[in-house]
Amino acid sequence: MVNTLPYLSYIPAHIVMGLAVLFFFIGRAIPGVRRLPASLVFLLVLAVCFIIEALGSGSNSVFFELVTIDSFSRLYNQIFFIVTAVVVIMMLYNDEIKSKINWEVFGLLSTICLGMMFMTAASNLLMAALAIELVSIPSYILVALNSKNPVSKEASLKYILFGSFAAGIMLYGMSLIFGVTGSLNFEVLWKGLGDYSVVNSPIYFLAILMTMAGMVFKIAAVPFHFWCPDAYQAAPTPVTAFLSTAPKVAGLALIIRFFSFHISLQGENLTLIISVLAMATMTLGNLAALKQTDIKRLLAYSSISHAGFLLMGIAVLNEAGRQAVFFYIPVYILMNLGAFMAVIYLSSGSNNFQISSYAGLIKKSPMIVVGFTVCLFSLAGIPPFAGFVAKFYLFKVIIEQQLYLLAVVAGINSVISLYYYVYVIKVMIIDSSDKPAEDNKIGVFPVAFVTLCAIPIVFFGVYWQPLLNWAEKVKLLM
Amino acid sequence: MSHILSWVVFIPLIGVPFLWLVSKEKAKWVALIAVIIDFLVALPLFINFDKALKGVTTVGEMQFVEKASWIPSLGIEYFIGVDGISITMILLTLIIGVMAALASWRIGIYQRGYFAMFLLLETAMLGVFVSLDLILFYLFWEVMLFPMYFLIGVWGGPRRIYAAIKFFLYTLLGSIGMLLAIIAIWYFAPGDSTFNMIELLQRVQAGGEFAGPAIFGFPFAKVVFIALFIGFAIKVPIFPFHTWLPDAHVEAPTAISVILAGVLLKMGTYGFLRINFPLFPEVFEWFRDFLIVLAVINIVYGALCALAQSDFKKMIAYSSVSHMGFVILGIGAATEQGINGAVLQMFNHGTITAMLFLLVGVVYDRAHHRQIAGFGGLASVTPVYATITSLAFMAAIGLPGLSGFISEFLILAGAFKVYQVATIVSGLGIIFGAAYMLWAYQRVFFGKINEKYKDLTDMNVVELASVVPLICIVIFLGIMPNAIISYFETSLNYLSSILMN
Repeated sequence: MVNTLPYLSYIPAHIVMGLAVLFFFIGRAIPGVRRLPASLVFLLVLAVCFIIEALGSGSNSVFFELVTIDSFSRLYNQIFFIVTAVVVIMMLYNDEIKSKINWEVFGLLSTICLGMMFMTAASNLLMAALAIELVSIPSYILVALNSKNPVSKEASLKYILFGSFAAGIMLYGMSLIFGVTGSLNFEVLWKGLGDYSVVNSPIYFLAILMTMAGMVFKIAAVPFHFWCPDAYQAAPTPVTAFLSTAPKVAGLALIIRFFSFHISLQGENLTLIISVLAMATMTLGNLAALKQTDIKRLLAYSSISHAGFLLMGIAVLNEAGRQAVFFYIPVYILMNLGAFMAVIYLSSGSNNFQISSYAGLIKKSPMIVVGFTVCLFSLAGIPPFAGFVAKFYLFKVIIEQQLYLLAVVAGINSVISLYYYVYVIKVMIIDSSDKPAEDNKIGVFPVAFVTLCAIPIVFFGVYWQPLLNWAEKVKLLM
Repeated sequence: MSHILSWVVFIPLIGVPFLWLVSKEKAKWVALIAVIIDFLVALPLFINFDKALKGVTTVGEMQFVEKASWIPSLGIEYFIGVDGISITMILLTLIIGVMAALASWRIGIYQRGYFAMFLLLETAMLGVFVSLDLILFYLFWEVMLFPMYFLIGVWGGPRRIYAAIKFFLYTLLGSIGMLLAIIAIWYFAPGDSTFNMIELLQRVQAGGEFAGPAIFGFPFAKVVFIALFIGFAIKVPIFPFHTWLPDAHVEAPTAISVILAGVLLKMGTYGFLRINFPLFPEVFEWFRDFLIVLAVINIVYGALCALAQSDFKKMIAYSSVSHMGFVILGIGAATEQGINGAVLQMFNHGTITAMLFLLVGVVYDRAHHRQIAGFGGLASVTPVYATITSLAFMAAIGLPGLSGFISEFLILAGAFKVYQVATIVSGLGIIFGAAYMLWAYQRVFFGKINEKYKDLTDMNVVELASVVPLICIVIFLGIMPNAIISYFETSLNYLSSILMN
């Protein structure tokens, strides 16, 4: 029903935009509106949008072919709504920004949501650039929300400068592509680049690589990852949790959609480019994480290396690779959200994010530490947790495509990554501390949350067919 | 009882929630009862096992088979069953499980956590030996990694954190290679892609070949074989991948050393026999000479290292390396006697080394150190302990009349047919074995009584209960080895014929 008029099939986007307008403008202008509980309104509207997305079907190209709606964009939008809702709930339990949760924050989150929805549905380079900026600019502000931490503003400034730099390069690359092919539409531009003489020319590589700059920046892959550790460390923890999941997934979705229109002639070069990116990202993320003493920085580098693993799945440029990525993403989100919620709980008393301050916490908060341990082992890819199954599918698709060097590098990186995850576990469980117990003032909800994240991780680690069935429903252009 | 094999595998895991229903001090009873029930439930397996069926490559001849679809899209099944090789290892795991539970009697902190990890480990080990699907095998194999990390890292000795992470990283590195090899085997399998081990073995027997592309320029079969080999070799451990073993063994608590030496090391050689060598018989031919060289190095170098140790437990750890070298020698020879001797040695080494570690634990519990030179004249102070230790040491040396002799003899006889020089050099290993064992015994039990320890208490009931059954098995098998050889003879003779061609 919602697809009878193609224009109306994008209702959820309209609703989210309406939310942004509400939070930014109307809330200030009309006195009565301000008395509504903002988080409740936000969550309710997100729920409505989720239901609308779930009811949709079919594939449409709307807005002068700038945007394509299909099951891919629908299911990813659902993920974004869930993650945003969860992050809002996390914010209510975190005193870094509890005082700052006012209407502007929800307005920013709505805008980011809108941007992410466009990123998964964009079928035109200009739309992609617009969507990336829609996500980036509010993120810059969200990072700076932490007024207690003086580093927060510095990190935000680094993020702004870096983001603008990456956006500039991306726009230049897009203009090069336009120059060569005469179009910004994904399908048309790959056909335009499909001539044999073009595929091996320097301008081709330059254009593709520069266009990727913006997307690579969004997923924090090498060489545009420098902003990531600082921003993650200095931002309020719920914002970090949000940044490490939702925009990263949106960036990956954009990359998947962008490259899915390639023609077979270009396949080999593109696989090479993305594989090299993947290898560099994984390796750098893991090696840098080995020496970290701050838990949020460690998780930042860990998310960089996971982006590298996901790029592996994209590098094979076929349906199986995309399926592997679709399988990995919900697992990744569960693991990350669980880990960050545990960090919020464990650091809430002291506001100290040094790993050494977590020593011996198994005695004071056993359930959270066990849940956190499950998330960490899953991030490392150890059976019987879901993270292993996700990595297994990635290994499977790259061996099917005979990318053996990539497989070996990924395997070695899995082992390296184990060390820093186990380091955190070791500090929590094996080390002991003489400090007196500090009361965590935030109650039982975070414990339930982390346990609710850990249980599916263990379940899907042993029986993952349901998740596989979901991943098979995510198809481009269907 | 239907699905008996699944019950045997999962009873320990089912016991885990019960640990939280009792007080911390009673947790050890729950664990002990769980492993004893497991052993009793498994008795029909041994009684009803048909020794005439060869199994190995014929699905119809695997016993107590259970098959259920698990992940249909990839064709992964919950496929378990036993044949001669597996049933021996199941028996070993169950016996060692009970002994280790008794050895854990004095754990003082986090008892519930300890026994939870212990029971999970037991399930994982049993699962490895019954799995007939490659992914199920791999999952059970990996599941035992993180419990081992915690068991060594939380309840171990002074350098436990280093030993635990070294074990974890080292084994994981091998396992990742194994995973990549398994995926390659699946994708490039002769015929349809399948994870079914027995099916693959059957196809290879019928002449199927892995038609994969060259990897980094090397032939596909050789690279996959080596990747699998390294994964299993780290577990055995084969020189030069053995460096994790002394640290892990020494720093682990007694019961975990028993499990590590008794069962975990056998998983490596089991992997060779079940997956690695039969799937690639031509590559095995090419690799055999080198394998024998590695085996001899294990035997002789391991023995020499043991001779040089001043720490009692480390000496026994290196003796493990040496004895596993014999297993590799037997497998590498691939003759009927060689392979039968190798599997018998796997079983015997499990029981004997378990005894040795349990006995070291006795003196460590009392004296809180393990320096050989720090003791003296204990024979008159603790006569029961001295007698049992002498029996254990004699078994380790390979004294005729005890089980160690039969297996070492079979291996050497089997290997002499094909590799004369290697066998003669391995004889040196036996001599060194006698040397370090007897010398250590002399320094600890004979000679002048060390004044510090003249009031040492002898073995108590729990410690005796954990060692005496093993002694009985060792003596029994020394006189009647056919009791156990008959279980695996048919399967291994068939396996030998596969590998020799």
